[in-house]
Amino acid sequence: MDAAEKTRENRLRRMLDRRGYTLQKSRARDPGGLTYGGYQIVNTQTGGVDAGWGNANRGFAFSLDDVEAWLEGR
Amino acid sequence: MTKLKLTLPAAVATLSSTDPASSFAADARMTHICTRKLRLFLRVLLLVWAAGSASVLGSSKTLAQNAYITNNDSNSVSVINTATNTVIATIAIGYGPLGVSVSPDGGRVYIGSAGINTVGVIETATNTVIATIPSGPTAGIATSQDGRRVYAANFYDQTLSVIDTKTNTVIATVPGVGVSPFGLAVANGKVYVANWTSPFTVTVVDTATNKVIATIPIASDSNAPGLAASPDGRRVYVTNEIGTDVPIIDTATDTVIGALPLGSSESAMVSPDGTIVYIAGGNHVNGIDVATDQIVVSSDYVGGLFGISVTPDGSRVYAAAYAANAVFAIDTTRGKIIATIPVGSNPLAFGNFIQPRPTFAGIPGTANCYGQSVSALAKQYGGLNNAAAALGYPSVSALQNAIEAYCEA
Repeated sequence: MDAAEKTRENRLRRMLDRRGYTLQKSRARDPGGLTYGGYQIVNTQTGGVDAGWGNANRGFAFSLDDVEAWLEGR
Repeated sequence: MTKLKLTLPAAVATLSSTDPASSFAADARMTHICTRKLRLFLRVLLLVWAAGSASVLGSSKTLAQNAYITNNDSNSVSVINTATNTVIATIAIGYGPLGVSVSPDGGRVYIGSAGINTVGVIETATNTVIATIPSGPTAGIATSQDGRRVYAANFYDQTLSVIDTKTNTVIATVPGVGVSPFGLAVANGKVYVANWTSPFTVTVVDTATNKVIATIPIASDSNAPGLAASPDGRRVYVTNEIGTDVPIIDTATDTVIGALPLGSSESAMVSPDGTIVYIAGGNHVNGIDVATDQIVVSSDYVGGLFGISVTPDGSRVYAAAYAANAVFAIDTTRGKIIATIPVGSNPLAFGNFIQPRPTFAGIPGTANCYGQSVSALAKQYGGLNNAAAALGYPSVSALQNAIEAYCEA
């Protein structure tokens, strides 16, 4: 991840924090893993993964673009 | 000809049956009035009929169990004939299919569609969707051993839907099954629910009461947690994309009693004889002998593997390769891919997706196995036509083929 992406990730993380959510990045180490490189938004109060994106009913299905779009939709 | 084939063996088998369970009232009355000569005559008649029908059916006894693959991005299910490793049908289904579960008799396939909060029911005889059940944001899905219930993990609702397969309706919604429930397994009269959360837990639901009865701590964290039950229901194996092994739950005590050294894993399935646990993880498939902890299959494949299932004879494993938009058929004796089958976009196939080997009322290897099986089916379903449709066979001939193969096994 380059510096610009990291900055963007941190900015989105802060925005989510302010709204009661936590941005988590998949800890999958195998590049072939389903969630490798993905993000999920967790409701800080319930601990549950918040609504997914597109066809996903799973966690870590977001890209940073998806996270941004999710925030814009709120 | 068809009518003769349908009616004669039922009557003959009833009269010649030695299995009390497959007898019925008419059988009892007829048995009393029949002489030994009449019984002998009817047995001969059955043999003649069976020989005739075999020639009509041809020599092929291959049972073509189909694999049902959920294509998460193309909103469809690809049906693969495992005998030919070709896609024989593509079924349009609700938005975002992920979880899949084939009924124990192979006649129905239940598909969880994430985007529209439904469970779709596919009739395997026709490969068409015959019902769409409003349920919840379904991830994992599993069928009870008797086929009467289907359970759906509602990922965003923290609930479990209980579906009556006779009416195709949700008859209960179990709250508090954990946070972000994902993988499911049914074993020993309980539903096991793997929660995609931190800390990683498996919740246990009693199927008799639909109440949560236990929560089993597994690990500090989980990604894509899956479950696979042993055929005898005594063990449940727990997969975790960021795990270091595969914990084993004893379903008698609902405690973790050990772990298989398989590393991280996306999903698992147990061989039909219960001796080998296969896992798909990222770009590899591993199989381990549960008695010895020895790895018996270990192969790397590029394709991003997720769902996995084993054929009823244990000879092949099918793995959904979501990054390759394909399904790999893997020979379990050599660990080699014997077929790469193109399917839809982003195939995940999370659950048991291969039809089981059919079983019938007769005892394999016995002389009257075929007749007993036909008789029982005719009685249960009101004729073989109805039985074929109910059990997922495209024709009576296909059902007869299956019975013959079963009896000769």
